[in-house]
Amino acid sequence: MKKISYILVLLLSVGAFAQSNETMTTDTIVSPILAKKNEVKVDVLNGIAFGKLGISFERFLNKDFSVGITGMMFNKKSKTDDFLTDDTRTLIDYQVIPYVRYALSKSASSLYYLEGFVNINGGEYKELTTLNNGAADYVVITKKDYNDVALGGSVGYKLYFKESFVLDLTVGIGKNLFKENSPSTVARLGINLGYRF
Amino acid sequence: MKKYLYILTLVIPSFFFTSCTESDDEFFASTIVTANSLIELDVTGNELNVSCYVSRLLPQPNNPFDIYLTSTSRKIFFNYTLEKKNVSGAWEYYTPTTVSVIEGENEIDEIISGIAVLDALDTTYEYETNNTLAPGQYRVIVEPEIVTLNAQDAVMVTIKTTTVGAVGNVLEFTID
Repeated sequence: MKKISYILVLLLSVGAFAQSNETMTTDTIVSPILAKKNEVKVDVLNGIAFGKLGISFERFLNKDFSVGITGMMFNKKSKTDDFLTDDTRTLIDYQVIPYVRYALSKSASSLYYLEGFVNINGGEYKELTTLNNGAADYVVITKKDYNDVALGGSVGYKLYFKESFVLDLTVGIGKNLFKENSPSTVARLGINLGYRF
Repeated sequence: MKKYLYILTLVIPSFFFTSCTESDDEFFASTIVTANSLIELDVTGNELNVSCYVSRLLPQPNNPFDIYLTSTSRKIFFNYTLEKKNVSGAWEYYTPTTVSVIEGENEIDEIISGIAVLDALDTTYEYETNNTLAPGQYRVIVEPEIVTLNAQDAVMVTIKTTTVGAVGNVLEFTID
């Protein structure tokens, strides 16, 4: 966790630098990007690396704030098949992530942002269970379901191409609040490609 | 160029995040049981006999514990070292050269792994070895835990035990 805190501080400082730097070149004409209020994105990082389908919708309230929601579901078949025998304790099946973002940079075409999110997530966890077959006890690995809610924060960077296409990088972390057996933390990672309209 | 640096400042930490969160969430499929006096040492003449017979249904305070059903492993092992006192009076590792395996298997190096194998009736894990030794002062140090070998896709079992014929799992003896 310490490492994560250091990285967050580092990223925030880079973001702050970027902001102060870009005030020198603030757009003098209102960018056509700002006139478009909606954005849809597909997460290519989670798609390729983890076989998860991640889709986001973001609505821009003004030049500083936006709200959105990300849905992420499914897992690579090999991941679900191996879950009972691999060394991971939990497997997240779905995540619904409403979020609020604040733009740190004034530029409309490339900007850093801060994000606060709620992550409603569910999936499976493993535990050891002692059974008895009438002659003796024995221990097996069993799967059980969980559902939990995490709160967290992220930083991200957006880069627009041709005033409509966007590359959106997000990195953050959240902490599950309610269930003992859910993952203690949930990562908020994404490399999203999308379209603003 | 600057844009790419910005992108990298996010992509690189994202991999750190992934590794951090995943290592916090590891699952070790292992269980520990206790059963005393499962390893036995005996010195007769110039022979050191090391044996370990473990019932598959290991007696426990409430119900027996089925090692095989838990681990799906047909082999369990424990480690011990054999040392000989050299001319200057210091203990040094000794690799036995005349080894007679009665049951099970050995992996012999500085540390000797005694491997007990489940018998054909699936009732007992068996290990017994005779080491014929040259004259000298010897010491056997037993690591008092027996562990299932290759418990793949199942639960690894560790049996905490004690050694019969040794004091505190250490036996010193002299071969004349």
